[in-house]
Amino acid sequence: MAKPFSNLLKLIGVAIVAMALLGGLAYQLDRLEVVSLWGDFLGGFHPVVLHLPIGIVIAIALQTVWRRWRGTSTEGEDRLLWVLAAVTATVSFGTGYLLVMGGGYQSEHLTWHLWGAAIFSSLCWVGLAASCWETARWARDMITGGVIGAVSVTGHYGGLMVHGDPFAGAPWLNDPQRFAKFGEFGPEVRVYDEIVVPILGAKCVACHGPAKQNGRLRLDSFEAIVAGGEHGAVLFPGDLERSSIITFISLPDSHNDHMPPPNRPQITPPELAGLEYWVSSGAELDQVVSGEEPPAELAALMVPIYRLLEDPDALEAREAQEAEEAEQRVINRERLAADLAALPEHQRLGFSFEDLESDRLHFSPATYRHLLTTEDLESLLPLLQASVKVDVSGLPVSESLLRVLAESSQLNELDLSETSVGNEVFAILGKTPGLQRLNLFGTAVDVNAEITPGSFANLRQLFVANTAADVAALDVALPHVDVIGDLGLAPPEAVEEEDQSSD
Amino acid sequence: MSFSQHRDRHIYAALAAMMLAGIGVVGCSPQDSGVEVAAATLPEKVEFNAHVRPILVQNCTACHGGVKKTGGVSFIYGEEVLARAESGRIVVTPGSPEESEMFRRISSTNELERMPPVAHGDALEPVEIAIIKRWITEGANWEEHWAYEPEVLRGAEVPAAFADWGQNEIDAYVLSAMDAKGLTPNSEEAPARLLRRLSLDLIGVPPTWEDAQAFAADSSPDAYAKQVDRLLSRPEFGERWATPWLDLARYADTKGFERDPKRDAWPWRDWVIDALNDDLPFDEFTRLQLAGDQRTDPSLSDLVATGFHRNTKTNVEGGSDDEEFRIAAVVDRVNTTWQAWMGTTFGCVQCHSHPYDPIPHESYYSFMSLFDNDWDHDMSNEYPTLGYAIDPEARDEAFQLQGEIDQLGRAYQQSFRQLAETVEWAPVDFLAATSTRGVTFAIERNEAGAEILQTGPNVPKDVLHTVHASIEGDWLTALRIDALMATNATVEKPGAPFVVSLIEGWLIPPDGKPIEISFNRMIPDEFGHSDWPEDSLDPGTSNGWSAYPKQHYDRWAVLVPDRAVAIPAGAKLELKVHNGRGHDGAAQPVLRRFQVSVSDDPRWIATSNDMSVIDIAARRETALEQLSAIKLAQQPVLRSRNPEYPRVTNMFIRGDWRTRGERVDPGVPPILRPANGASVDSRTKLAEWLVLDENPLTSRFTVNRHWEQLFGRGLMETLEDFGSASSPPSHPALLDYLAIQFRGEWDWSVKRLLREIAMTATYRQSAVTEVAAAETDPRNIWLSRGPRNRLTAEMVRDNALQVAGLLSDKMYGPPVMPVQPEGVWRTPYNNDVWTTSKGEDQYRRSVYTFWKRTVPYPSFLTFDAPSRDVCSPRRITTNTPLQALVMFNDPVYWECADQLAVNARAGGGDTPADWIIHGFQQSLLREPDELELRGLVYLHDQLLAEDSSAPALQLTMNAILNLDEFLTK
Amino acid sequence: MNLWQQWQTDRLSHVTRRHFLQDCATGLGAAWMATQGGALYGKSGAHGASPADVMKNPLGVRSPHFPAKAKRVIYLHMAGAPSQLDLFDYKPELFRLDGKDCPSEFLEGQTFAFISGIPSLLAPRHRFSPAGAAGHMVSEILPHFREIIDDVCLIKSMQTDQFNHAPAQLLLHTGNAQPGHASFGSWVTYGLGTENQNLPGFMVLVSGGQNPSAGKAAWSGGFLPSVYQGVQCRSAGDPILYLENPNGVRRNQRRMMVDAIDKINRRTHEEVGDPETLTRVSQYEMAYRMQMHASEVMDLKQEPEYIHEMYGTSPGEESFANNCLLARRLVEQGVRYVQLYDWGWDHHGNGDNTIDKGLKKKCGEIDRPIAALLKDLKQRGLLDDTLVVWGGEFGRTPMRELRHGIVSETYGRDHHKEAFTMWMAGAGVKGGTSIGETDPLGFFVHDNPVHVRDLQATMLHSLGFDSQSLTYPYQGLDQKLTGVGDPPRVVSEIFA
Repeated sequence: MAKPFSNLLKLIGVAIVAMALLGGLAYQLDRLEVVSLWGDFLGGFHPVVLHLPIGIVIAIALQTVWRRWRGTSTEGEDRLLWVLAAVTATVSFGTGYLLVMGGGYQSEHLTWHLWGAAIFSSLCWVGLAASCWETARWARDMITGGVIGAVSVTGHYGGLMVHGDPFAGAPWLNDPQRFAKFGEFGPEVRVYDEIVVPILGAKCVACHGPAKQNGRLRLDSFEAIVAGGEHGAVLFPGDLERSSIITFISLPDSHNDHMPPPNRPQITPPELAGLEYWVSSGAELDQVVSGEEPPAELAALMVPIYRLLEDPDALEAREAQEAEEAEQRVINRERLAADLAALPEHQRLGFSFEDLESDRLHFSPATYRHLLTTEDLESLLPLLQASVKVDVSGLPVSESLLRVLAESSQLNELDLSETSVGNEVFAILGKTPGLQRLNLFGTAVDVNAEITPGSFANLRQLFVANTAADVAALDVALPHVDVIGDLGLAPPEAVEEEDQSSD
Repeated sequence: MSFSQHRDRHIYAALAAMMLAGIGVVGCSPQDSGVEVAAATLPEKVEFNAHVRPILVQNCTACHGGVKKTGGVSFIYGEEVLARAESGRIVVTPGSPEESEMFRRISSTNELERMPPVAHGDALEPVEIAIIKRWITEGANWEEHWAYEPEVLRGAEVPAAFADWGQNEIDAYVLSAMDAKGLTPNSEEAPARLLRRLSLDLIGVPPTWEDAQAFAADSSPDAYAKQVDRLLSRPEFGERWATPWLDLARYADTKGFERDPKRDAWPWRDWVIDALNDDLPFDEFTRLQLAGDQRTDPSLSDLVATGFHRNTKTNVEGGSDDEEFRIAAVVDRVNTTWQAWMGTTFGCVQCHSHPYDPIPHESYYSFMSLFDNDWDHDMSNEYPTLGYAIDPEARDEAFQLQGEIDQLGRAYQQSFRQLAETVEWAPVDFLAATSTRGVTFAIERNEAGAEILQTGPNVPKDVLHTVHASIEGDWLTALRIDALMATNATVEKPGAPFVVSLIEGWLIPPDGKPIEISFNRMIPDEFGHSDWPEDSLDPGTSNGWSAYPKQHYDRWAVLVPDRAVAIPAGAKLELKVHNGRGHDGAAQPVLRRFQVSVSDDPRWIATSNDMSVIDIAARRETALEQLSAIKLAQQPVLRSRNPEYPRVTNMFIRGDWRTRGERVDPGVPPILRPANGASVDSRTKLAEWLVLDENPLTSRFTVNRHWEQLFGRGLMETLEDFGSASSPPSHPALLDYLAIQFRGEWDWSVKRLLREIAMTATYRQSAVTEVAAAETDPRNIWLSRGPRNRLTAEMVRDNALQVAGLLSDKMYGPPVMPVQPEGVWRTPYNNDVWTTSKGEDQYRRSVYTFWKRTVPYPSFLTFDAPSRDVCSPRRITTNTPLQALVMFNDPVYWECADQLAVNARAGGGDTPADWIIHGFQQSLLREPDELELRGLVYLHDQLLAEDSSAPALQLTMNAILNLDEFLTK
Repeated sequence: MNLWQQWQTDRLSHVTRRHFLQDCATGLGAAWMATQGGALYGKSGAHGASPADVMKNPLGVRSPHFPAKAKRVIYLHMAGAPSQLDLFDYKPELFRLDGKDCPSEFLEGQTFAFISGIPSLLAPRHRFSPAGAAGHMVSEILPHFREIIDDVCLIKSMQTDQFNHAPAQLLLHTGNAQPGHASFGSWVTYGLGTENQNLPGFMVLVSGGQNPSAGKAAWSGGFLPSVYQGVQCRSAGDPILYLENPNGVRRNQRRMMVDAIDKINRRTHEEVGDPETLTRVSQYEMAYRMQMHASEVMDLKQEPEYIHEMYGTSPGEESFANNCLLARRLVEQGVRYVQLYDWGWDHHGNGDNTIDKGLKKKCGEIDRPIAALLKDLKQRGLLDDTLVVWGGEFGRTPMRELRHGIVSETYGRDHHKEAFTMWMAGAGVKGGTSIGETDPLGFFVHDNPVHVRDLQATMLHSLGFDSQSLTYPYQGLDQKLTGVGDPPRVVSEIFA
């Protein structure tokens, strides 16, 4: 019996030595970190390595249980597993410590996690020692139990820090009936945890969190928010004007300091209202509101379908679609540019693109307007049909040309001012789908123009000044259109004003 | 623990090894896989300036440079690149790219930390990353920008095939650069065309038809050299080469801004023409213009030379603050000095350190303090000016008279000043102080005695102070006024001005009959102000003793009566001070705070009656009268203030003159400081520093801009910026050679420099562009063909007048006004009128045309002349329809065409073809070929056929003046 | 699931899709991610025409950087600085305190052009009354302005740095208070070229008897090539300098001459091969066409009588009304930037420069033509892509001017850079609105300040340019209209 007892003492000795070794390892890693980049690099391995000892320790426990149940307990069989457990535990402790050195993980969970890891690693060495030296079974079982306990504590807090509290949504903590009714918010809604953290998490933590600390500001934990950034505090409970956490996100978009930066997902009005509500009501960590009748400011957030970030699948589809459109635009542009290059100068000079990348074409000749003939326009028809704005004012526009133009799906604005077109224009262009603006200034349209009902569905503006058209009639016929006729000025004498000059 | 089972041990080892290997392989996969670039594309020896600096300037210095040092990182100063950034990591560790944070950032693929950041654009090209990696591995040697390193004489070997082509060393450099690009030089230009090019380049006017023929016929080997020397010695040389320097000096005949009134700056322009014609060495040319006034006993031309920096603008707009625009003028002088001598954009440094060159922010203000202590102060009369007689004969006499007046005035005051500073003054105690127009006074008493201080918000102009004071002692022989600075004014923020238009004193005895004290002498504390203090005794003028336009420090003046005045017992002193001057500025020139003290020392009267003093005063009066008889132009000149009352220069916070940082001492930027550590603390030393052999910029910039005048494009294309953001020079070795020779063997002689360039075979090449050359070198950077550029604005006019025989060769004198359309010349509050000059003056060379800043001469403007508001090193030529309209319809050119037609008819021959040939020869100095002649004759006949009264020949001549060949050289 | 859970799942799925392995820098997949990462962003960076190819065809039409609301600009500058307090910025408090001393807290640290000491406050001399749908208070000396106020956006919170005319005009039009910088019109023609090659792209029309204080520098090309400088039109003599042939020379004679010159120049080009020669051939063609087109477009007599009556023009003389009609005709023909200067708004109270009679007289000269211009543009369908801007170079003080420290009997105000009013119309500007407010006395801007640099950035934005990306390399710096320093703000609230 003495031997197992002395082994027990030895085991405790091993535990203490292991703890000391780990402390030394931590001190060494401390120094190493400052000197070179290796610290950061190795620290990154932690997430990979830490899951190994968990698996191995579970294997040990199962083996022990299996052996107990089968009654065949032989010494040293699980020594291999203990070796692996000890080695991987120590390695993961080391990498974990380096990761902490990298900074960015201050929270109370961390201390639990660190101590748990230290105990777990040393217990693994003790377990290894126990399986080498002949020790009482109850002692080895106790060690295995201790190891399981230590790893679950360490694992829990580790997970909390990185992945958040998995139990928050646990059924026994939340009454299922309540979830369904209020969009999964409980009767009491912890404003900070359930409203503020998700919003900040979605819109701010990418640049103010573990990965990056712009302006030395972190928003991924309550202490960090209170601590503030390089320009001091960002949160003044109850004072919206002074809290820059609010003022920066309510600046107009074009302002240079507007947060979040333009190329990031923006904070929506309901989210801003929610944050303002939290700050103005004292910005406490544990503030609770009723889930049934949430305050007005939070109501918009507490609906089942409220989306913080764009649904990833939708985002993916949108970006793919945009990319595909951009490609199509480039192809159109090159094709159109080639066609334009082939034109003689007096025709080409009238065309221009809407902007540097767009394939939307405008036609408004100026330099050679006085030289363009009907034949020119006829030959330009394919390009005119591809144009969104066509200004053929003062040009010999034939009816046939007008009919072809009317079929164009691209045409948004057509300027026929001072051409010879008459009332027939209303019949011809009535069906042009995209037509929004039609300029008939100084044309031959007159009172007997008829508008077939339902035509010009998308038209927004119609200019008929300097014509004989009946503006009132057109107004009635086209209620949704802004019809602009002759705009004169009140005659000069109409406005006299008694002079109140120097008394 | 026993690993007895051998087999188990193997399994464990294999398992562990496999696991570690897995992590290893995964962990260190070739992250920088993109960086392996075929070594072949890398230059064999990575040089910092040639390869690395362009990458840094292009991608990094915008945020890591003089303006912003994000993260504490800057790529401008060598030591900062090797230092530790705010993140604690070392930017660049020589020898090991892995330890250099900069390399890690540029080669990282993690968007969040990659440099340049995603928002600023793409990552560096792989080859650029490889170059930087190579540079760091090879020890990260830092070199200063080439323009700040001394010139290097590199020599050039000439390809064998063209060994005998070159005329001198310059051709060797050009040839080797040309050969490297696979180009071959052109043959020499046809003689007539070559002489026309040479003549326009050197004297700005074409040769006559006869000269051209004579040159073509002269087969002597040095025929060309003789022409070069002939042209260099012509007086027109100075008139042509003055124009580029007038552009740099922002010369104009008006003051600028709103009213833009006239200014007599032409004496300085004439000085430049003379200096160029006398081939004044460029270093002396520099010393005189920057500090001619600081010479011992400076001559008339020494003083006129300092007109260079008085070409800055003066704002006489009502309500403009004279201190603000004095500072604007000083800032302009600093920027222009760097631009006109060294091609450096020093203006950037006013608000922050130079964005990409090693010039720190403070050095702007230490350089500025060199110009901050001159007398000129944005005053309408532009004091100090120098009377320059319009009639050349009277010029020396006028200069001598002004010297005399100055010297006598100084002596006159000196004879009293010593007394003023030693005699014992008894301050009076004020009893009452009143004034007109609501100005109120308070009498303050402190240990220095009683003081009168103006109180109340409002000080209008034209007020009369009346002061009563008690006075002890029996005799009054002198009275002193101390004008004290306003309580809140400092040297940086000067106080309101004052002008004492008239001062009179009485003694009022108890029985009430005042005894007038008739003062006849008034001596100020300091000679050199724009006023003559004794005008305060003359009721006829509102001038007098003053501190104008601002008061920078306490002033005093002493009044001496014509005889000792007995003070009746119990008498009181009454003084009346009339502040008669008003101006448009906010603070009116009125005495606001002053003390009075008296003296009974008999020496005042003795000195006042001393024969020598009376004689000095009399001689001064006669000199003044003699001077007023001479018609003078008032040329603004530089004059430094008295050293004992210096202005202090402070840094402007972010460049705003209203917010002052700490004080600075005069000096030049560290990187260009003289090797021997000599201090540069005066304009004289500044001029000396500019032309030091070790100054790497002056000589390079100067030879480069002369090269640009002849070839249309500098060896360093961006004349105005030799900094590291501009592309490097096309022929660095040639540029250095010219710079060293110009400063060395050619002893700063501009004519020698131009001669060397003009004599080169490069310059003499024909301008024909071979098809091959057009592809490889469309802009003729490698000089494989002769220069062909449009004439400058001045040359276009002079050329037309010369070929028509209208050009007058009268030189110098006030600016003239050739024909200009009606209604173009108008500026607010200024009723100067453009009266077309009469007779010969209408046809003077263009350099003499009146130059108004807000309305330059229209046809010059259309041919790309700058407005000369700022130093303009380069004129970018354009080609516009408005130029065609000028040549067609401007009366000047219409008259030239008319005169050409007259000359053609008179020149013999009676057929249109003969006339046209004559006109063609005069204009283009060659015979028209068959096609040209036929075209012009056809035009002439067609015009006549269509309308027999049409001025056909004049129109045809006008057509010749519009040919491309006529407008180019 | 609640917000938190939603965020968790989104975050993870986002991560898996793109950034998952990035969080653990050396995770198993990091290597794979590194190779796949590649350039997520297309070739970005400011792509516009490089200065070199701009010089080949300097005034050729170019597209803006992003879709633009405005294709052309008409700028109406009232040189001398109209008094905003007497026209648009209605201050009842000022009426109440008329004649009282100006409160001292307004005067500390302030410098004025002429005022010194303690001036008294001065109320407007004319009545205000509500105008337009929104009932903005406008002075009654602008009767016709009421008819167009529903197309106009008033900016009451303008600010500038300069209180002298020449520097302030230069800052407003060239971005720098000292001469030598490129003016707005030059930047726009450099950026967009001009549609009608037969006319200059940037034209300047002056009225009121004088050029503005800044002179030609206000429409100079500065460091830009001189082809971009403004071309000043003149009401007397040639509308453009040297446009008309000397008397006795007819158009067809010029045609023959141009043909002869072209023939010889083409021969020179074959011989010498200098590309500039060919450019000169095309310039002479354009000069010939410009002679016809420019004189035609400048000939106001071609307009029908009702238009002349509407604008109140007086052909043959120099008048603001003529210039407004000319502006409409020029933009109709495709001129890119038309700049009008009307002199005579410097109402200090000296002579007849007073804010009662003087201001009323000047308003009489501009009120009708401006209303006519906006209505005419609107009825022709031009207003929607023409940006119209009205304003002075700074404002005028609420206090009465005290020249030389003496109270003048006439009513005048001094220069005031802290607050003034401008307005914009057309090209997507929200009509019938007003932005920004000044304090009860109209001394300081109280809310939404708009510096002249912000105005410049906003105008560039409406033309399809970001103020930081329209640049020209000179002296080693990519020069910008709005200069160096923090990028100014686009006042997006102005646009619908």
